[in-house]
Amino acid sequence: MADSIIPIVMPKWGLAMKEGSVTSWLKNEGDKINKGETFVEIETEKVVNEFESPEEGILLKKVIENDIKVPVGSLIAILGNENTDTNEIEKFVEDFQSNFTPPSDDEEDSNLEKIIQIKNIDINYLQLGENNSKNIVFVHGFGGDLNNWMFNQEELSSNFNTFSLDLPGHGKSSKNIEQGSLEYLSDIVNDFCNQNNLEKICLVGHSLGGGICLNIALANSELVESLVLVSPIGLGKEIDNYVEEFIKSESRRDLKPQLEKLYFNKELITRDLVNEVLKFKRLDGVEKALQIIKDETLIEDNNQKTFLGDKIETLKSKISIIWGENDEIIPNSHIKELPSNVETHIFKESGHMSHIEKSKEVNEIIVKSN
Amino acid sequence: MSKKTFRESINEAIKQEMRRDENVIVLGEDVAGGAGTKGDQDAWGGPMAVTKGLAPEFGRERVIDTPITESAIIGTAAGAALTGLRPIADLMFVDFMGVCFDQIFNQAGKFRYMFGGKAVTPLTIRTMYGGGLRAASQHSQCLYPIFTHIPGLKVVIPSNPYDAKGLFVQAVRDDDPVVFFEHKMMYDDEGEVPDELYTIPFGEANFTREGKDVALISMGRTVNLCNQVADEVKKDNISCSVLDLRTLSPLDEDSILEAVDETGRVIIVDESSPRCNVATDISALISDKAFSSLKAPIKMITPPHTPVPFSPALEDLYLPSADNIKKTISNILN
Repeated sequence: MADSIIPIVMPKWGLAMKEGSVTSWLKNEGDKINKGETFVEIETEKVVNEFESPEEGILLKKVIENDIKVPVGSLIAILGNENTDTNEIEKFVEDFQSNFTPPSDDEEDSNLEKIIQIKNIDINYLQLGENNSKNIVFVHGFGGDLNNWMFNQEELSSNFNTFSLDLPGHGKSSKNIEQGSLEYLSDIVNDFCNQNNLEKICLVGHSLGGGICLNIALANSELVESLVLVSPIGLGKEIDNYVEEFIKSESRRDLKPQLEKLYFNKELITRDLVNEVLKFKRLDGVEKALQIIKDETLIEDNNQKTFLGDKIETLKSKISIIWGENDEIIPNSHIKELPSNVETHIFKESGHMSHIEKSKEVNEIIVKSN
Repeated sequence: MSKKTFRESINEAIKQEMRRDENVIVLGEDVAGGAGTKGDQDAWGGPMAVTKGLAPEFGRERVIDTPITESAIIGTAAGAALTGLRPIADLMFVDFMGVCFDQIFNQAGKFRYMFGGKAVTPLTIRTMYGGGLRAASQHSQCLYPIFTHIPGLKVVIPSNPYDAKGLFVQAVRDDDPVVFFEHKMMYDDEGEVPDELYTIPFGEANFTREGKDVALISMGRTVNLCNQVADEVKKDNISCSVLDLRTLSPLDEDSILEAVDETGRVIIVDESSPRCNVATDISALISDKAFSSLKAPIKMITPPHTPVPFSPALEDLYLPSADNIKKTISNILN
């Protein structure tokens, strides 16, 4: 039988998360919840996601109202068994609330992010987990940043040394870049691994980052033991006009429909999320950097410029490729004619961002590939 | 990214733009302070120390202390803009606009039109507005509706340090005259502001809170009052969106109509005097274009139509307050 009172608190997804709110409850008070079952939807500044129960129990009490922002660590619900006394629950909630102090702003988690110099530009990265035997390096997609791995990196860092980096022109890395070719971007990631003395790594890449990871593995099978690619570029010609439109979109109204193409669940694209992306896009130098990467790596005559599909057969690293069935950016047909050395996964109800929309499943694949 | 005050974010915007573009200059009364004397050469850095540190870095040729004559400050700046510089002129209190208004509205604001589109006037006028400083009726007015009324001028009114930097950089780079309103009670407000340069385009209002029951529409300092109220009434299960207009000219009509469409109930909070102000203008816009979306009459929270009182007790009563907004919310919900 489950403990009589199991407190459920606001989770911390990614380093930037300071507060979150409940957007909807998937279970009612009195319902039984299994460990790992999703029972509440939580919204942060960056994303809405379902929250999995860390324990088994009956949902005894919903402590907070919908749509009210509370700090990370706040009590949101009580699980327990059916015999738990109501007074006991009330007392627990009262005690919890009176003892709770929200994490102060001074505890700057973002201090965990560090800058290193690679090829004379600043590269921002985040390391979580150390002294494990295996290393994972995450490489985000076009227009993204290392926060795109917020449902993957922290989770996997308990058993792996994990590194995520901001590509040139992205996140907190330098924006004033002179080149954006696949070779240049691959060299940056390769040098990043060398400077951190990483060997026999698992490279996880999304979209543009997927192409970069594949390109590195083709050239350097010593470094890359396994590859996990989520909707990567380089496996076919077709690609949506997202890249051009993303660069062009200057207003919230223009950008929102573009960002909606990334997800199966369009409701994930809140105004807050669009504003976060606009904050990045409006930094001096970003538009030019994105344009260079687009021209040198991504797009030529409205098709993908990079093709690596014909070389996969020669790949020595273990490789898994993941696609969302509803990917509107790069069609999932690109996963269908791959050589037999590739392990493939297609997720239903998932768009271009499977590592966010199907994070649990993607994390399992990453663990298995190691 | 780090925490910066409103004052620091504007100071940083000016500095970084001056480093980037040598055509950017600053002029006004005591923008440095101490010109022509033996004392401290950056004694003031403006009345609120917003331009502190500029004169030592960029020199007196680009950071110019002027005589106490607004018509000369704005006239010089408008001419300099017309001939290729990007001046940032400090009008100090907006209450002094009367002595230089011709240069602003009938000269700078009209050059593009009077010279067949061949002239541009990249002039930024910084100015302080608003009550709360106990500075009486000649130093506490808002007056932004008067500038908003003039086609040819752009009117910017940020509510937080992040917006202040991005909108200021946009103002400096804009080829038309921009009047940039800074509330004198906001200089110590803090917020996360990137160290890099960035811009925020004019004409894009920003939802600072999301809600379904009531839309609070505001600008400048009172946006923060609306945010505070929206957070407080959540406890009573009332969900308010807050729309920060950010620029009054150009005005983001689409976002205003979006806010009305999502809630059906609108309260406009405007610190300027109630006749012909921003609140009346937006109210007219909504009744014209979104009347069928309304579930309740449009409400406006403004001061009474009197000069700003000197008495602190009366000044507090004069200004829009959280209590007033809350009462209005519960009135239109019942």
